[in-house]
Amino acid sequence: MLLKIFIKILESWGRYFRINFLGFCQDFGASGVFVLRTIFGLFGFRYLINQIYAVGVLSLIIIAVSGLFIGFVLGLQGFYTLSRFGADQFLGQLLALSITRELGPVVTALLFAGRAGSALTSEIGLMKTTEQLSSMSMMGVDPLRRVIAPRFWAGVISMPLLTLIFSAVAILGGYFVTVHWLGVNAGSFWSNMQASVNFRDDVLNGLIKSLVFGFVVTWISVYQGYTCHPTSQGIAIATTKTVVYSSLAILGLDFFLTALMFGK
Amino acid sequence: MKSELNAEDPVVVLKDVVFSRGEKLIFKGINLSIQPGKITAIMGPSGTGKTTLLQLMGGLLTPSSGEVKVLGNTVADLSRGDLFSLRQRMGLLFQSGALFTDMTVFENVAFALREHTQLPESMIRDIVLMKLQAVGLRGARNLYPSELSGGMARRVALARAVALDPEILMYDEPFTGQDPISMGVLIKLIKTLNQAMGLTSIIVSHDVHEVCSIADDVFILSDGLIIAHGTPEEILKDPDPKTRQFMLGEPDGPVAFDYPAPDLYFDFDLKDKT
Amino acid sequence: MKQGRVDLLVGFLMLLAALALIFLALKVSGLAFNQEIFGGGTYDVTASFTSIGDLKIRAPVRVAGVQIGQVTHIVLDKNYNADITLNINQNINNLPADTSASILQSSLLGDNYVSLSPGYSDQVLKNHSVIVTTYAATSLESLISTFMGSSSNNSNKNSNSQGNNNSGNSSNSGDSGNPANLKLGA
Repeated sequence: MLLKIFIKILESWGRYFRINFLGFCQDFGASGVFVLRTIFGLFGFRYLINQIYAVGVLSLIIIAVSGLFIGFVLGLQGFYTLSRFGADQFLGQLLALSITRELGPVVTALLFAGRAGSALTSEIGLMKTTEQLSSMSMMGVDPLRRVIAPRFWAGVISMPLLTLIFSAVAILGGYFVTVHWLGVNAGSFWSNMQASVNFRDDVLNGLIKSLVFGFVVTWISVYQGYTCHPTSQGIAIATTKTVVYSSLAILGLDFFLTALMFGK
Repeated sequence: MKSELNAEDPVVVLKDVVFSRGEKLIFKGINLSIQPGKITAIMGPSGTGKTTLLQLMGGLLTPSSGEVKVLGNTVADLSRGDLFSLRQRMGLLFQSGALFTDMTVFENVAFALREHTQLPESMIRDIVLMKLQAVGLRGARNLYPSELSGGMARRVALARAVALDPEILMYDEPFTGQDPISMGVLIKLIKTLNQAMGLTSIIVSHDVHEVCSIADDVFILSDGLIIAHGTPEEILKDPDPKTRQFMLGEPDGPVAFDYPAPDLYFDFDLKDKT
Repeated sequence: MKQGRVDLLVGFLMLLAALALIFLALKVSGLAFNQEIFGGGTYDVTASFTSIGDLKIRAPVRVAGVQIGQVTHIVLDKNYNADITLNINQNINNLPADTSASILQSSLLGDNYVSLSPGYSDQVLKNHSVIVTTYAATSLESLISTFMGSSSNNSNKNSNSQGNNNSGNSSNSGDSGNPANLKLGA
């Protein structure tokens, strides 16, 4: 009797796994075809600029403010711990390395996914629901080329720009808190930082990370919008999926990239 | 690979088209042909898949089996490039208009012209204004779709659909939910456009009265099959019970009034008192 | 949103990002204009050490504490000595041929670097020259154990002489002039 139940459970797991895993693989493959068609779609420069505005410029405030506060907090927390060992001259190094290597790319990407990614998904989802994408298709214009591709490239371009701004603002914020408020020596702050931060290894690697994140997050956002269920509930689900999948992808890729770049 | 037609060949031909969405069988074998230059109506009760039929003709969907030929081309066999070229010869007016919300009325109508032609802006401007004039909305050119009423949005969508001077124009439920005046306006427009531009018009609708006043040819669609075909007068005289129920608007008939339910006895607890 | 305004703000974003990049390059990572990326040419010099301690590639090469280049290759040669390649800036081209190289630590917990002490020769180090005189790295641990070892020897000798002195002049207190009055070995 128990054996029968066990077999039934295994069967349903098997079916569930087959449907979901295969479905996932199919979905993944479909999204691969999608991104290839998107990447190679040519479009006018004007559309790109408009989308960089929507995706990049409008995210500037949240990125800059977050960067500032993260810099403040890092400075404070670093000071509390390092000063116990009389090692507060290393604060500059702590700040710069943790921000350029990790916090800059990762936090920017997470904020981007939440603000710009979800906006992209819901915008494209709404265009799908109100049949704008279908009517464009019926007029002989490929919506992947005209609507999706500019948004995709805008995301890929904006992410590194925003990451640079985040990193710079965070380090400056840390500088103001540690030097001007907590009284750390400005000379040792900057010189220790400069001695330990290597442009190619740290800053550039952080930028490469942000490019990878930009590609993946924008891909997820745009794909979820394009393939959502054309109802208001469908758009809501797609937007949630964008934020969740993007966040998981960012953190997973960060681990992978960090091990690749900074592992000895 | 595109092929051309003779002047008398039907513009659209559907042969034994079967289509299912998921597990639901929508079309069981549709056969119809649309004659050039005429206004053809496809009518039927709601939910029979009339919009799906237009999407099949436009290549937005592919049939499970059977053939859909538009202007001599089998739609399912076309490459993406050829399909997009074919679509430039067709216009589809969506039920909601589906205007691009981030562009003005002018830019919406100019869209296809800017994408598919290399005409100078001055010429595009003239064409757009002429199309808007034809639908009576030349003065609304700088409004955004959100500022338009439903009827106006539909007229702008019509202007947009004819911007490239297509050979076929398809209307998806154009009369649904319109007030009598807008209805009259639309009827006039459909008729005039068809005559003035030598179009083939295909109207999908269930407004019997309005459609019969302008259609030259009528198909009735029910349960995934074409159950009647002819001129409006012939259809009105058709003795088939399904056709009669639809055309005369009878509440009960082959399409039952009652959704299947258990006997009254069970729901209202009527016991046999004898 | 007028087109001009959009363009302006996008340009503003790009400008901010460029400024951030310049800040990160110069102020944060200390990229100097005569270094790697804009490098005005360098030349290579090799030196062989019996022990290099913690020395890594990219470690600085300094003269009198000022960086003039970096370590680019570390290879083991057939005598089991470490062959280091030093990449030195072209503008420092008058190092005497008998310059010596030693591996020092920048601070108690710092990284190792190569320090060059200029010699007196008339000839100068050129590309592919070899530095002959090298001093191997000293590790902190061996330093401390040497220190502790020598001082415990010293305190043994001192306490012996202390005992002898006390038996003689008790008026003299413990300032028998031994500088290493360490209380090790207690």
